[in-house]
Amino acid sequence: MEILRVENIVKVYGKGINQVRALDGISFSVDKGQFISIMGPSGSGKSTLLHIMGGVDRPTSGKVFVHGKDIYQQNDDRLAIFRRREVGLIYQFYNLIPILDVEENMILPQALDGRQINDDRLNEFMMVLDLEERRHHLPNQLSGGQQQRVSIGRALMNAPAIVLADEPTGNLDRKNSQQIIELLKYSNERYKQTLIVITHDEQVAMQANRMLIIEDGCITKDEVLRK
Amino acid sequence: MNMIYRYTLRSLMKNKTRTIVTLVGIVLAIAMITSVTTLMATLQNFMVERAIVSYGDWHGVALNVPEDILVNISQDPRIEKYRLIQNIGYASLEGSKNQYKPYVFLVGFYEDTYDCLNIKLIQGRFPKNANEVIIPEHISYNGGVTMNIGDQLDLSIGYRYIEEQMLWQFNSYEEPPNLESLVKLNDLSFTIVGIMERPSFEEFSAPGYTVITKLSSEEVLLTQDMKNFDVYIKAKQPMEIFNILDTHASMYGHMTNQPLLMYQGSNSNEVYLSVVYGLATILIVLIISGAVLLIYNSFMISLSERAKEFGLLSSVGATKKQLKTIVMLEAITLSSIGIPVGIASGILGMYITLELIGDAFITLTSERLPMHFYMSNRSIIMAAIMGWMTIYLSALIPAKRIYLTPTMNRIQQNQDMKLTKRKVRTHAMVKKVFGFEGEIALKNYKRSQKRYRSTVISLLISVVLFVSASSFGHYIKLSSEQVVQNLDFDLSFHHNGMTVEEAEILLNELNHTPEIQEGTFYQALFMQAIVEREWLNERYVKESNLEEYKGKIGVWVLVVRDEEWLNFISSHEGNTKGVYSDQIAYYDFESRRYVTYTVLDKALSEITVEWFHELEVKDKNTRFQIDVSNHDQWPMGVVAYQQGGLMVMIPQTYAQSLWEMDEIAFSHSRFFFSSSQPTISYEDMKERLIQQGYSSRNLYNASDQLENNKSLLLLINVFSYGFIILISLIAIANVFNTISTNVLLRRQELLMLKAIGMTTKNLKKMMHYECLFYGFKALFYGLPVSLLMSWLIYESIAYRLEIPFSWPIRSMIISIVSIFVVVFVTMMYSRTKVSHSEDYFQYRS
Ligand SMILES: Nc1ncnc2c1ncn2[C@@H]1O[C@H](COP(=O)(O)OP(=O)(O)O)[C@@H](O)[C@H]1O
Ligand SMILES: [Mg+2]
Repeated sequence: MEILRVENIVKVYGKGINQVRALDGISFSVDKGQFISIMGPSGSGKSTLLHIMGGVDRPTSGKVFVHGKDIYQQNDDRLAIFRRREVGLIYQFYNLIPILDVEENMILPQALDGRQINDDRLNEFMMVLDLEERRHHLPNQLSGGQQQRVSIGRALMNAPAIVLADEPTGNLDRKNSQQIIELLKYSNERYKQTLIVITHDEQVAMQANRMLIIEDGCITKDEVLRK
Repeated sequence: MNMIYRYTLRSLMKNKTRTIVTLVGIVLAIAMITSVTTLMATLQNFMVERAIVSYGDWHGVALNVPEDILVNISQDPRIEKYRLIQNIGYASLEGSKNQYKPYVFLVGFYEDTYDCLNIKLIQGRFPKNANEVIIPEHISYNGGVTMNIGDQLDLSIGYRYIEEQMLWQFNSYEEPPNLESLVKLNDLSFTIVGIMERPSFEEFSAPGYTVITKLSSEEVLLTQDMKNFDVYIKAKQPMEIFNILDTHASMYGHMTNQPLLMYQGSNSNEVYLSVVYGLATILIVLIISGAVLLIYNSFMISLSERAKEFGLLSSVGATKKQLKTIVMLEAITLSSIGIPVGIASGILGMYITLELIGDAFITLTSERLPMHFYMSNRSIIMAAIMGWMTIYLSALIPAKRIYLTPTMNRIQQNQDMKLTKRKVRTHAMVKKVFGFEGEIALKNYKRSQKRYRSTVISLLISVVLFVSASSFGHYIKLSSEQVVQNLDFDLSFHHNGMTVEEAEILLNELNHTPEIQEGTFYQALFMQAIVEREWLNERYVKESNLEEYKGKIGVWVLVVRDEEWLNFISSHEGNTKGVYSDQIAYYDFESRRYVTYTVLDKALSEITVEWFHELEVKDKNTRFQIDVSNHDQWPMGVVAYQQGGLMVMIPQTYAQSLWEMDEIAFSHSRFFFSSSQPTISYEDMKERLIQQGYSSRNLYNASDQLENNKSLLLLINVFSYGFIILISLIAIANVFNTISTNVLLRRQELLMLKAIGMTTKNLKKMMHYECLFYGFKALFYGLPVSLLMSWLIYESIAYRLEIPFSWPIRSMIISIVSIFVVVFVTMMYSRTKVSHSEDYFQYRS
């Protein structure tokens, strides 16, 4: 079943001689529950694509359908609500709010939504992510791996349909990297979430169902690794 | 607790320094706005009190109404209170010298009438019953009938009529052919127990001198049973009085208390108020622009520092509204502390100031009222609203900018702002003069124009605010000093008319006043001088429209006592018979210049004068030759004549030899006294004047005035320096805020420079050069703008007075010096903070 479809996305930054064509007509479709990895050289447009899929950055032209609905038809506020309900974003540099503690960072999207916090889910995550003892620590009191686990927790708390991760292991050592990937795979399987991960790490990329390679804003390879 | 609120509070707590600086700015600004609004309320209240003291505490009066309408008035819910005067009747005043005031007008006050009408007792006490009266002092100096306390006053009271028509105080005396008549009813006899000033309700055209007795509520003095009242009404809503009078008194005469309505009512176009509001507006604009800048900067900095955080929040699904809520919550939290504290400290400051020096206002007005602190709900609400608007706008604008940045850019934004890509060429000279550090500093400065913009703008506005505030204080001080003159006498008295003999008698009498050390007088006559056309200065001819010259111009002849003359002349030439001056000096409002020139081109050794009205003097000899010499120094009090054209001063003996002095009533006479205890002398002299049949109103206590003028100047000094200090504090807080944040934002860059081998000394030097660069830039724009502002302030407050524009050199120098001091100190402070930070690597990640 298709959950996400990207149609002919073009993204242009800047004007005149400073103009950069970050994405140049990208189209593909993703089924529910798939785990896709995206690879490509620096500056090829991976992050841009991820943000456009996540409803963070509007494309210059082209459409993004989630559950068959064009997400950029909505106004900014609807889009923000879409983000907090349907999408979980994970970054290389964790991007936690420094003045909020671990728990507060994790429940942030739900709190913004004004929803009752699902305590069972929170406790489960705390355990799975091994953060129970760090619950009330601030981000700068945590190691890189721990911070990334918090940001995974944040991305998953709302039970989003799609989880997007931009080089989630880029800043971590091998042991921590594998732990993070295991966590992502675990949630992908347990909650039937769709997972899209940008990575430079071939070992990580090879664990996906499908791998895309992007060069100069175009998909140059789309390979199914396993069913 | 709500997550958004928790987040907001947390970020306020985390940036303690900036939160405190912002709070200080808010408190200062609100305190200043509050002191301006309470000062305005105080002034307005002062004017209201003044109007009440002078004209009474009523809004409207229905005149000469019969008793039966009182029932309706007493039941009108729009009326706060009403008070009655019973108009009893007239009696002729035997011996009145004023042909338009041939009567005594007897009125009855009730116990409570005094709370509406303020009667100023000069001597004695108020009447206690219907056998006692108080009389006005002008019955003596205007009517020429002298009466004293304790005297018996017998009046044949009756009504005035023209045919059937009854007449009252607003019907002035009717001479033939309409001749009115007085129909007498009763003979009444009273004891005089006090003397009052002319009551304000007696119009100048009223035909009777008001005499007040005391009635109990049902008392009737005349056999004819007809009560006639003036009803003084105070409305609950001042402006309602017009409708109230319409309802009850449309068939009768009625008036409103305009001065009181003017200050209590809302709309008024009186000059006084427009000046006060004008000044208040200048002050508030200055304060608010300083405050907005400070608060705006604080918000701008804290928000752009958190741009990335906002981006993150929005990427996890925070809507614009939620982001806006964060900013507004921050503003509300700061306001909820800053506004009450600011208002309280503003009120306290103003209260203390006014308690200390509010008495200075006693002699500024003839009512001799002190100015008391007064605070109205309106003034506080206004301050709170203006304060909130300031904070709200300061928060809203930077917040808008953040929402407008696309989410992506916010997430990706580095800690540093974007540098301009353009190539920066530094002159070889720079390297030579300032060295390597100077070169880097200049490159830094030029590349990151944007980053410095906020600092430069804060510095610039601080300079402008400081210089403007100083100019403001300067002109206020100058204009108040100008109003205040230093006089070399303690008491003075003037009277229109008087012969030499009368003046000598009065002087002799007044010299016996206790504590008087010395007294003298001079008398002035307005005459015509015979002057050849060719002698006249062309400018004088033109400005006085003398194209058809008839050979005569006006001249003041001042006659001084011989002793005075000898005192005066001994310091000049020996045997001068008379002296003259032909100076003209006045301030021209159109050209805004002091104009001075002389009437004559020629120096005279004698002046021929003649009477202005030749017929008035029986003396055949109407022309006199006066030997004179030209002078430019004069005894006290003469200046006013000296600058008005031609003026001659001679001693009494010389005047005696020219004309028959006894027959001449001078245009006016002025007396001067020095006293060891001016206040005691003043009180005593007042009584002596009344006994002699003169008005005590023309007695002037200069020393009293002087004391109060001194405290007035003090008050103004306190205000203007207080204002300057507060504005400077705002400016400093502002500069501190921007600079320290900017340095802290560059922490990484500075540590990097250190890492690649710059010594602390190099770094220090580099940063000092940067200070110099933007200090200069701020001054380059700031000084001309300040000059312009000073000129505008001069235009708006000072031009009416004879004050030239003065360059605000001193405040400009102070601002130049303090800019560099503040900048360097702040730089050093923040640099040490940077050097001491150990978490370089952590910061980087
Ligand atoms: N906000 C932006 N403004 C201008 N150019 C941008 C912006 N974001 C990305 N780019 C440019 O778009 C191109 C693609 O960037 P990005 O998607 O970050 O690549 P990748 O993540 O594959 O390294 C790059 O050339 C980058 O310089
Ligand atoms: Mg990238």
